[in-house]
Amino acid sequence: MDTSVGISVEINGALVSRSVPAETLLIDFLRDDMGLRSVKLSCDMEICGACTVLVDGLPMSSCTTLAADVDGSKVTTVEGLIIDGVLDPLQQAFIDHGAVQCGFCTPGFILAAKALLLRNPNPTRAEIVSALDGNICRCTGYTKIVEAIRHAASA
Amino acid sequence: MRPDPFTYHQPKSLAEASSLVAELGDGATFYAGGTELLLLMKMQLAEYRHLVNLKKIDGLKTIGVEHDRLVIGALATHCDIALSTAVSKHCPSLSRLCSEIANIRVRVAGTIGGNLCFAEPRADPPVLLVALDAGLQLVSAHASRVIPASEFFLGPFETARKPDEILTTIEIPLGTGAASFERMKQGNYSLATAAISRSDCHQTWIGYGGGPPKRLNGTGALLDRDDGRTSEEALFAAVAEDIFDLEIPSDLEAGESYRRHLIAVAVKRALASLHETEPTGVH
Repeated sequence: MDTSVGISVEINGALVSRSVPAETLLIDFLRDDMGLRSVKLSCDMEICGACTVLVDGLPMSSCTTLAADVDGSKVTTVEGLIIDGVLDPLQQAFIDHGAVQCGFCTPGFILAAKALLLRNPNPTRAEIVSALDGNICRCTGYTKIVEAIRHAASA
Repeated sequence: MRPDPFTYHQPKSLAEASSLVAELGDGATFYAGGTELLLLMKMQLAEYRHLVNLKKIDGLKTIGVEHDRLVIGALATHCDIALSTAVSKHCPSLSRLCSEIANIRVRVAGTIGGNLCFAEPRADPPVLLVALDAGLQLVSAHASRVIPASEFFLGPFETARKPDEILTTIEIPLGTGAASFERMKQGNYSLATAAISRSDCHQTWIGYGGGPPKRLNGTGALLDRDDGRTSEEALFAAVAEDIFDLEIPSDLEAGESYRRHLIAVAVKRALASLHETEPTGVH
């Protein structure tokens, strides 16, 4: 029995059409088929946020989303935030504020922050902290991360 | 963790979806947000050879007021409900509850219908919805019925829904919209929750992580007599008596006696927030 599903997705601005097994998880599709290795697998149960990607501007856990479910959507990873070789202000702010330690959680944090700024360009500190409460940094570098986002929002 | 292979069906109508599950039998189930089902399938705790996606069926996400009811489509996500002006106007406690479920990614993907049908005993929505006297509409290819939320939850991960029935809408009578809800949370799930309705009597319901929402009759009766001077001691005693025979879970997150205490605290806080919000009546 053929269990594959045809999907058409805009990934970081490029339209991609593929046939994938129905059980393919979005994270595997992005990492293995699309080569987007910024998407990290960590807790594998929607808790840590390392696998966060944006689907139509909203943050989702790619570890527990089917590739089939993003058919017709726009998916953004941190690679897609770079435009003409220039980092997104959030990415630059993470570098400038030392908000990256081991770096494993960083793409997820940046995308969670991007989703926040897309709907709320001038968040309060409390709103930033609330938007990040589903992302875990095991280096515990939260203060620098919040500072970086505050800076990017005010820039 | 990866799910085993399955066939993905994308019906365009409720009748088609229901018939598919009826024909395919035990190996098939409905699929909505996937936040709970996919996790179980990844952990090999659930095995389905057919997933019947409900997200391509039109009209299941609508939220609005119809006559004297707030009607919420079962495919509305927690995020949709949290952002709905109709819900925040008529049922602010549900707005708040949905805005605090898990994390933003789960709220973006997870649906209210999926949450209710999964019947996770530690989930928050069931407790408030029974206190709000919500009705749940279940539709199959050949029939449709509405049952009270209080009769829907039968036990952990067990509901009154038949395998080929699709939960389509949650209907909340507008007059009860001021019911309050409070939870005691540590980690990913609530340890204890309480909801108190403002309707004729103070229906008091709790969630304790071990089974369906439980109604506290003695506590409700005490609150009906409340003249504003009910002491914390009397309230805690009433709750303790109501839950005396209840089998309360004891695990790494919290022991039984601590959970019993948290249930009483949740009831106390739900009562306080009920008093804070004046009745808004039907608008």
